[in-house]
Amino acid sequence: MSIKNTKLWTWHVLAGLILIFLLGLHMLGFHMNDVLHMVEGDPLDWSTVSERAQALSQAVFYILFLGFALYHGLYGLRNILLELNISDGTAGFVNKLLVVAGVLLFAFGTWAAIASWNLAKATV
Amino acid sequence: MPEIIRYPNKLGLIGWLGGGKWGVERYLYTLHRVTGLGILLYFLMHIFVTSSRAISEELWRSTMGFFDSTVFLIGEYLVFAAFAFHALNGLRLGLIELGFLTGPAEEPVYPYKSSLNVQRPFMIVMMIVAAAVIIVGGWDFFIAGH
Repeated sequence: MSIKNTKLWTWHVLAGLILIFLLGLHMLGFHMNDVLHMVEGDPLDWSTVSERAQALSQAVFYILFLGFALYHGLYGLRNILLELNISDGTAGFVNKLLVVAGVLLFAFGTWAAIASWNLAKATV
Repeated sequence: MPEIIRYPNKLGLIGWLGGGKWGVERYLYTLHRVTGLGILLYFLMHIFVTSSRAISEELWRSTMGFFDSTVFLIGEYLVFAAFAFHALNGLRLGLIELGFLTGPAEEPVYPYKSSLNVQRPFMIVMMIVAAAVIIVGGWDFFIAGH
């Protein structure tokens, strides 16, 4: 494994460990809320969604979460695809495709986080 | 792009299915990949679905209304269970990757010791915790929440 690949792999591992914390909070708050009561009311109701979106920290949390999750997920997918005896040309194409997809999805998700923050502030 | 150095994968996808001499950890490896792919697929859709909150309240309500069915609830629970397993097994893998849970380097004297046995108690604890989270989550999804 080249030094650059080693760094990318290390980031994959570290992003996974960070995601356990970030996604863990998300799962506990959204999908175990009836047991743990971390969020007041229904976390998917528009009133609570809008209230959360007013906090800049929520947008920052979401963007960080998005970046780590996209990197961890798409790099993991790349590793699986590269194990399938594909040619070097196809492997190079897979690399480029996943980088472009990751950047576009990150840009879209970041826009959604900022736009919902603006929308929530405007409706206060 | 970094240089791609790969080794021939002689078994292909069939290699995912056989534990061979590696024991239960090999099956956890397969399950880790399957759950990872499932979570990724869900996550990519989740980005688009939740972006409706950036447009309007009406779009958010209609989107959430579309997914308000038993089929999607079961699907969401499967993703939750996949996350619980993937996260706790991933914690084990991450700690091993960073040099923990493998034991100190020793002189190879017969009968040889396997580092697999060093991490195994932690693996068992993680799987018990994952099972507990999946059960409590099921209670939240299907009983307490409805």
